[in-house]
Amino acid sequence: MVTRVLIGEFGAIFRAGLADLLAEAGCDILPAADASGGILEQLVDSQPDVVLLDLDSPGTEEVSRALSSIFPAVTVIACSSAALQMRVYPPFHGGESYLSQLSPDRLVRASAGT
Amino acid sequence: MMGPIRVAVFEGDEIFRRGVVSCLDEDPVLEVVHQGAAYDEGSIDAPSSFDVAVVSAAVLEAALPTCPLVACVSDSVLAWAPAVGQNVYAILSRRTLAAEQLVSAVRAAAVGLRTMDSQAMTSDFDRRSLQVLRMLADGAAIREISSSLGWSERAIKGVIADIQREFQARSRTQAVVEALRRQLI
Repeated sequence: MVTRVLIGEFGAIFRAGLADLLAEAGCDILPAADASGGILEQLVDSQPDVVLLDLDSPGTEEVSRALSSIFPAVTVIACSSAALQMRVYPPFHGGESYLSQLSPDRLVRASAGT
Repeated sequence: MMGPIRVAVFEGDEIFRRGVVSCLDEDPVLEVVHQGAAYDEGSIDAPSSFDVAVVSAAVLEAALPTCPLVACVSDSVLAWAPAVGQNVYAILSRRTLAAEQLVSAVRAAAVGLRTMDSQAMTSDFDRRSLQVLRMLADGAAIREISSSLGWSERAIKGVIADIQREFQARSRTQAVVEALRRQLI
């Protein structure tokens, strides 16, 4: 089964890098965020397996935890391009998370749920 | 009619590097001929094998190719942009940079034009850092800076820590001296 990934708002270049990396790993990158609708609306519309959020913007951890609880089947990954870290909220863990170094390999593995 | 512009990308963050390469590849005139985490003279066939290099701040501090450079840096580095070398033709914010801006900056550098991000040059960060540096130079304590600027002491300490990291300064005094030396304050 192809992993469907929704990428939230990031700096344009970093976002292009995330999309390139995950597409190469065989993921299906869902169409870019429509700025008018929030991430919640997009999640409902596109039903992804994984959603990537920007850990560098304020409030992302709260949003990630909430999304992870509302959409238990979705893997939420908050990535920091500044600190090269990611906070992963695995599916069906009630909003629990772990912090990990952000590297291409780790991101691909976290997205694939392995 | 302009021939292909050969571009090298030296960037330690692989995800960002992929982003840079995929944005440049979209442009018909630009051709990414070399990419790596860092610039290493020995690993490249001939220094003249590319026309422009896109580099990160870390690469800027190490050995540099002599061709025109386009640097993608964090906002804190952006504040000290005037201190960088002669062949840096553009300094761009990693956070706010758009694909079209990157492509335009690279194409401009290839024909000898410098590019400046009008928004980034007046970002909140440099104003704030410069205010703090000026007050430190005047001998103000953290508490005084905090009450004068209306930010928490924690925020002021964070700004100072960023500045020290930027200057690789071991103390506040050294950071102030460095700012004076670079004629920033």
